[in-house]
Amino acid sequence: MKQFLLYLLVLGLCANANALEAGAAKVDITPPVGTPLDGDFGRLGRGADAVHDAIWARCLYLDDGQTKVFLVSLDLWAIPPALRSRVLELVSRQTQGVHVILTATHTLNGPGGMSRRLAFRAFSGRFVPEVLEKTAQGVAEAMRNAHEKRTRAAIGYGTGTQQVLSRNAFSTGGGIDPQIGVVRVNDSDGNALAILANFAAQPATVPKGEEFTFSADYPGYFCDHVEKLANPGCVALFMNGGAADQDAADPEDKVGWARTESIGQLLAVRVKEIANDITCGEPTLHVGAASVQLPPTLASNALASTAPVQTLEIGDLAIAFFPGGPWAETALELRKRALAMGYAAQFSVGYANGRLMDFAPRGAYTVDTWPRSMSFFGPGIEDWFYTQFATLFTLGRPEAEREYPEAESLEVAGGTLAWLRGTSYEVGRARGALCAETIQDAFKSGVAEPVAFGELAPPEAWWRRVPPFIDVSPLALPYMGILARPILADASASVQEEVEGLADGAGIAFDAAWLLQCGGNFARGEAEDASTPAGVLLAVAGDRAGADDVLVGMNWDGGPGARPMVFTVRPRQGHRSMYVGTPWQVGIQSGMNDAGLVVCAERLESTSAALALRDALQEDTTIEQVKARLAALGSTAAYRVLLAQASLPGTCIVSSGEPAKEKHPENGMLVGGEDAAGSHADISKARCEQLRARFESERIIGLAEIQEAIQDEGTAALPGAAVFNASTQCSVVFEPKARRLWIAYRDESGRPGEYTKVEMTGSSQ
Amino acid sequence: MTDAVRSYGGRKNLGARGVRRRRGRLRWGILAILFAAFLGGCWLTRDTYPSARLLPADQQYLVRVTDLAGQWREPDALPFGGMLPAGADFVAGPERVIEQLGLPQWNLNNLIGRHAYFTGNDLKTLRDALFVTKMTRTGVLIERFRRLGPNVTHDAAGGLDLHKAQQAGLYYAVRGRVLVASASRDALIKSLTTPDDACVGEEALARAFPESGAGDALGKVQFAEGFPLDGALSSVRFALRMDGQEARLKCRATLHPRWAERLNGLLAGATPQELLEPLPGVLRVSANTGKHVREVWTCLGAAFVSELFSEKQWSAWESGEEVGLSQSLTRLVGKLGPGLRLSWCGVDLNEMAPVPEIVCTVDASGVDLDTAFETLAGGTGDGAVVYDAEKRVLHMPTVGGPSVEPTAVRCGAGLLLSSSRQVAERTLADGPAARALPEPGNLYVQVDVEGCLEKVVAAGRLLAENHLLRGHTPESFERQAEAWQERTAKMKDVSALFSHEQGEIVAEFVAHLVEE
Repeated sequence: MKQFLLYLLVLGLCANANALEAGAAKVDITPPVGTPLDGDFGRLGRGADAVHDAIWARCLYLDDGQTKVFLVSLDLWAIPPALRSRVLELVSRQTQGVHVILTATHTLNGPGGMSRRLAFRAFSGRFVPEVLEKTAQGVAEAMRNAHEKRTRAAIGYGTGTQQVLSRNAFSTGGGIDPQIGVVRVNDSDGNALAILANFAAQPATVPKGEEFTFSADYPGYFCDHVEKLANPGCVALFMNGGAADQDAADPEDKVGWARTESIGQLLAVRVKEIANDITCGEPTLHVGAASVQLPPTLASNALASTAPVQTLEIGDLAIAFFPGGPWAETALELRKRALAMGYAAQFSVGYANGRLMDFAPRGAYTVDTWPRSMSFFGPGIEDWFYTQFATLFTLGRPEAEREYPEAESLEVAGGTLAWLRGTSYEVGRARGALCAETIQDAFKSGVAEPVAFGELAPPEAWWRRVPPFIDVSPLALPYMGILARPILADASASVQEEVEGLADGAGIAFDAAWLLQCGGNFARGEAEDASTPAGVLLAVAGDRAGADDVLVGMNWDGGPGARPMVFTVRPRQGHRSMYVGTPWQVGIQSGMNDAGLVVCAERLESTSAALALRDALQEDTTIEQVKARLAALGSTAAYRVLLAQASLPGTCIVSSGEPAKEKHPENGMLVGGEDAAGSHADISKARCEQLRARFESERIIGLAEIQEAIQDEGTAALPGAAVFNASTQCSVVFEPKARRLWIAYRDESGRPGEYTKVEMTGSSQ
Repeated sequence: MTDAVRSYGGRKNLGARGVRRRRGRLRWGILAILFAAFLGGCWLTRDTYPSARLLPADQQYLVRVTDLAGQWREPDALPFGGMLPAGADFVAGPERVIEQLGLPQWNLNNLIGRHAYFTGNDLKTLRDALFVTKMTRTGVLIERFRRLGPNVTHDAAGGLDLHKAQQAGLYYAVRGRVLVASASRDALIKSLTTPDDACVGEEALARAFPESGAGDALGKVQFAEGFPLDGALSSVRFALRMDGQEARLKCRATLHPRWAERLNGLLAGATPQELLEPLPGVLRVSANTGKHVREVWTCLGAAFVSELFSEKQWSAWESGEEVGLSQSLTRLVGKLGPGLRLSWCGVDLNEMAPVPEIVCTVDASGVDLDTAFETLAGGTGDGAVVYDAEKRVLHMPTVGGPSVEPTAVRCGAGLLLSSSRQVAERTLADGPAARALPEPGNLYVQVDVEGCLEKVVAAGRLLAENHLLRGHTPESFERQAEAWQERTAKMKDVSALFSHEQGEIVAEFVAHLVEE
């Protein structure tokens, strides 16, 4: 009998220990008028001039005996790191062994003034230490109150959908996240302690003319209305979802504050409907939390280098908390993955625990609409989050470390040959890993330092007017990264993948790798390729090439440091190709594919044209296809490219223009230089003239003669006008019929070196 | 053989008397030798050569320092230590030079007389500076028998009999009791070979440098074309006195005729005016040239050939066809003056970017400020300028908070302007002092060295922490700040009072040292 009573006692104690407890509270944290608002740099950091509705800190405390968590929703644009630190400091006693999840509703009319970092003050206005302290005290108070009010509770969740409350910010009829997620917490009497809603739409509905008013926006109306619809004492919490590309819609065609109210109330009604159907119980809770090293970014001086990533599981509901603004696409994909893991439902909550701006998915990274282009971690950030959450979800499985094919390389006299294979990403990654140091140095010397010393700057004049003791590069570099993205939008998906791979392989930010492609001249609205070298070239075709059909020779000119390599690429899809290029340039100046198609640029002043030639080698089989590709670039891209193909006529030089100009072989020979322009025009013409004169007589010209001709250092009348001049880095001859190229680098004495043969089908072995 | 008794043996016993006589002779002998030595010493150290004969008259600068061996033995220890040109090792302080010569420090007072003269032509590097002083007799003897240190070599120099102190890098020669030294051999030779009629001359020297107290440095500088200040000055006479915790430099400068003509508009008729005590701040200015802002503005335009400061530009603003902010502003500002006080109060580090806080008061007698404010607020039309009619405050919110909100408000008979609304309100609440400075002048500048440095370091630190300070990491900036603090540790504040008197610019600089 004694044993039985003891058993009952232990059972009772255990049951009591596992009983779910919950408490909810809210505290008004509205700062004084005059405090700057957060989130919109268009307001120039000025202070609020009125309070339309109060700013709240709302807290839900949950404790299932094993897991304790404070879930806090704040009417803020984001969670400043200084606020999070201070709150944790203030509630350190209550939070021992307790998880704290701070989320912001992302209202654009919440208080700012809490940023110590100068870069963020453009958004959040001047730093007001008193506001930071008062807000932190308010949040801490809400947490303490929720903790003190804890009582025996039950919890449940439900989901519903909507189609009219949100809309895609970028396109009418574009994708939205229709899910409304609801968590309901009841006390032991069945009354709602708290109702939490997860819905994705930007709270940016404050009417024009009221921009300087404090307001929680539609989440404020939502919470008020839910609390009215529910029983007294219920605290409503709003947690925004993948809202970076989701606007609040206008379902009742209202204007001004009426629209804000309408969205809030409609959402509240819908949430209440869903909440009414929720059956509460005592599911287990689990919190996953990690502070993870973020991918490299150009904004590293403004953004934290590590991010708190958290998950909360309530039974078979998985909630993922992003430390910034995910897009709906990312939220939907994560949901799909979570459901596949075995969860019954999944919510994504944005703007939690940090302020890392937006996380545009791969397909949207090139969007250049302010302020939604404020995504700084590259297009791979969505995958990064999928990996992090898969690790934190209890039903998830950490992804195995993926293996990528490595580049093979071979040092030859004066240069390097490399063989790459795989998808575009894998090709880029292998190349990046092979040349990591060179690529990092190239970014430092070609982009970062010129920006730091004012030689390269964004187009706005004021960047060049800052006092000389200010180094603008921590701000200018991420901004230039954004400005360069539209060019990427016009490039093929495979280019973006290769740049992404290059960045990952080299260990640099995606934007850094992309800026390396584009250089820094933004004056004409397109980032110009500052380092694309020009060259001197010739081709012999038809009878004059004898059995070879066509031979193309070129000298690859470039500045110091632009040491070219020969890359032989075997892509997963498309043609094999071999080309000569710098380690960091994805675009191609001269190369040949396995269809015997040769592209060889004499002048290439546009990133888009270089990328078009890259795609041409990967996808095209005829000269006509390349011409069509170049023509599609329009007149803005400046190029002059020789096109040739084994066994087929049509060798020509195509120059940009409207329409594009073509030059065909005369007497079986084609030499450029006619329309050379700029400061080196005379030199360029003189070099070509020497080649033309050399092969004037009618006869077959062989490979050896071309090799010798383009290495001619002979004395020229004009300084620097030798065919192989001081700028020449290497001489290349293409044999399209044999699918082979010959390359000769400068030797150690600076003289033309010996040729090395590179076969399309060869390898480093 | 004689029977005479002979005595062979030791010294003859002279008796006490004989001994005394003998000792007396010895004393006299020593005394005679000493006397002869004394006479020889006097002969050797006789003062046969006046300093003035070694100071060429055509030098650009001539400075006389009194009690160099006492007050000035360590210029580095002075508040302006370290501000001498990099090449001026020779004038970097007698104590250091003595140390370099390898002589004991007690020689200092013997080698350097009460007055020491510096003269030369190279004002930028002071490399040809010539040092002339009259040694004590002991100093002459020290030099004659020991030379100036162990590593002194003889340089005949065609009979000029020079010496070179290798370690100190100095050439020197002695004429009579006068020691003449220079780091430049050419300068020294020039000094020794200048004919008497091409030297300064004793009378002229006495006239130029009347007797002064210990620690004084008197000098005159004749500037070469184009230096300094773009050749604005042709000559300066100055007197510097170190007195306990205070260093005081009085200058009287003559403008170069070209500059006198360029600044004629500004300086014509300008006489010392009563200056009000500047407003609180770390850098404080009080100015009064007796002219209104418009006149000063356009005179500056003429002086510095600037389109911005030209009469034409001002007229364009003032009489523009469109009524706008610039028109209203120029109409108001042009009438302001002549008294003006301007202070840099600090840097608001919490603003969107670190911004300096500036406050200024300017005389506004005869200006209808209320109407002007209303016009300014109404003229813009876009609400950029806000006028609080009740408080009579005009302010213009720009970017960020109140520290970048230019504000104008009536302040007594004047107008108070500030880059910051907060600073304007604070200054107004404190009631800007209206006391006059004890001395009249045209421009008074005061720098609170410690305060200025504190503000600059705080702003620099914030920029460095945000990686926005060119060439510095947070750590390297901290090291730089420490170096600055070390260099200025002795200086409390520096002030300067400038006035225009009969075609000359008179300036008085006062530096106060931190009490130890």
